[in-house]
Amino acid sequence: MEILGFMADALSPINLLLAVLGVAAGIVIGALPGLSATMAVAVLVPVTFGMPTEMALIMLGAIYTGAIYGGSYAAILINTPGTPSAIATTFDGYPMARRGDGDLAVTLSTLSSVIGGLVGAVALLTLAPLLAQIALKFGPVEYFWLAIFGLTMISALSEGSILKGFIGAGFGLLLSTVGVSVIGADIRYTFGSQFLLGGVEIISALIGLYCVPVLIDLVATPSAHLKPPEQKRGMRLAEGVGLMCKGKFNALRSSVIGVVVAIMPGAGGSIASLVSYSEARRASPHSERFGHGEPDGVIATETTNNAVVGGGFIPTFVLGIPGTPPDAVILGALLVQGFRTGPEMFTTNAQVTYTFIGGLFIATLVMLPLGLLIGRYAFKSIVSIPKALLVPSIAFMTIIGTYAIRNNPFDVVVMVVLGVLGWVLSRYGIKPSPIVLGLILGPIAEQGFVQGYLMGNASGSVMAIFFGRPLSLAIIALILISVAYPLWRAGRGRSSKEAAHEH
Amino acid sequence: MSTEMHSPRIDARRSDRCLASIMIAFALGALWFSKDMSIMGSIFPRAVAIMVLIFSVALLVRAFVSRPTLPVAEPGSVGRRLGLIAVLLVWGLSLRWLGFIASSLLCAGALVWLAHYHAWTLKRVMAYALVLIAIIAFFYTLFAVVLNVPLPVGDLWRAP
Repeated sequence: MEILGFMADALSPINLLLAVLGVAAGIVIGALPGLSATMAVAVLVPVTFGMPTEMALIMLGAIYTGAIYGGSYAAILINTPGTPSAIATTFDGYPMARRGDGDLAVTLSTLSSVIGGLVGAVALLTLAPLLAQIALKFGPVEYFWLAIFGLTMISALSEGSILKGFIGAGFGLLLSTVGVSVIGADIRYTFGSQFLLGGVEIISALIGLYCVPVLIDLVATPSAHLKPPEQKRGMRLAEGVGLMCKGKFNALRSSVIGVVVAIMPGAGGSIASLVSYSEARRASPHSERFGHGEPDGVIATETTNNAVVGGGFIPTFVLGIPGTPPDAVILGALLVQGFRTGPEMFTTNAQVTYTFIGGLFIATLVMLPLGLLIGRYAFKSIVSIPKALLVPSIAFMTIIGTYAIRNNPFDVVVMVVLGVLGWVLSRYGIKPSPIVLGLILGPIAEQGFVQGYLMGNASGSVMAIFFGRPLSLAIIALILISVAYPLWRAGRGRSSKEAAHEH
Repeated sequence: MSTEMHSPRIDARRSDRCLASIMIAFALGALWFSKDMSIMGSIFPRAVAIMVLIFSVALLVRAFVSRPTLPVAEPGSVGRRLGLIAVLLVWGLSLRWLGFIASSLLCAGALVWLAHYHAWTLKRVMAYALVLIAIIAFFYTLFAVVLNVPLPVGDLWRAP
């Protein structure tokens, strides 16, 4: 009862106002390519320094929630993930928008984000101490295996040839090694350029690989960017709710994936949404529709990335280890406020923590009307803008967004070059998603592998380090299942087809 | 559900051979340039380069022994595509020299011209120019003033 009382404190008018403002600001920043949720939280942190801790946390949580959701607008309407968490939203969201269902995709993204956000907040409320203990057991070797598990998703992400998917992932992994290596400090593949010392920035690469090919194809023909809706049909809420009801298991599974991945420090929303997309595709009876505008794809990724918000606060609050990059910024804000994270967050400082969790629930619920309203106009505006204005506007946002990441014009050049390369490779059958997967998982895999190798050398058995820990074995089992299951399913499909022919 | 799912396909033997050869050269290059790195720094890129090499050789073999296909690529004007790539590159390279505002006005203007397929009227030119200036002004204010991002002023405009 005491907990409920603390949570009810979040319902004060000023807290509600902060939640609305935070969500709105987050949606706008998240929707701009290049401005990630981390940036949204980081930029607005100073605003909260003068506030009481509860209010500051509610506002930061609302900004974070809104930004993660806002990332889906750019993903659906211009095929550019507004935040890295929205990468997988482009796979089905953009094809939906192209065929005239952008309004439905935005509504689905809103509903899914709300459900994912609520599940994440419930997990934070009920499971925090227990889940945080599991996260502590993850060492470098487990992260290495987790990255390998992530790479098995290539089979789900590559359209057409899996072989080309693996080549694309290898290309991405090699790109991730450019610059100074994390262990050993070797300077790799910079060819004497000081600009490449910092490596290929992931967000600029994302913008380039997803957005530049769209621009290249946009200018090539006079046809409309997105198919305009044939009649006025509002925000298609009833249709969206119907699809959500049909995909309720998908939404639940994706939310759980979001929470589980979020409690592992450093994994983040992009990996979580890619995992859930891959699982949704594997589990779906219509897996061939994924990548071509399947609503379940949007539901899976958008539920997950918002479940990551609540899930990521679990290790942040209980262990003081940020679950995701925006959590790291919020952790810093907590320290400025004079709070120490740890078990006392749920005992001595329970009032602040539970008021914040209440605020997170409110921010997530506020996202529903706000998101539906903004989403409706976002789709209408993008559809009605003439191509001659849309192309420079998108190009302008990609340029300024990329520049703003590190205030470096060279990142803009890298973004354009990677975009052109992505467009060329796409014509040869290598889609951007495996490349991006390699870029994201490369540093995690390399660090885990090299650290595990060093630990193995020090302890006398590299094999025991990589194959002798229960958690590693569990992840290896998952890897084997995820590789074997599609093969088994394809084999079963073939034999049932043959049986049907015989009859 | 989609038109792309059933889009016409073309013979991909030549393009697959070409892609595989490029990726083999890329992987060999990655291996070659890793020779001066320490063991810790080179173990991962070498492992990945070998993986790319193996998959590329497999792709090359497949392109000779079977008949792979690819969906037909989106048609359209090659000139405009190349124009867009050139403008984006010039935009990125000129940021430091021309500054953010001048390079954005010039390059965004060039993109309007590239992406426009209808006849130009004075009214349309004025309307597009105003909208473009408004967009650039809005984002400049957002980034430079609100978010405090130090956008480049341009070496050309600085006093010597």
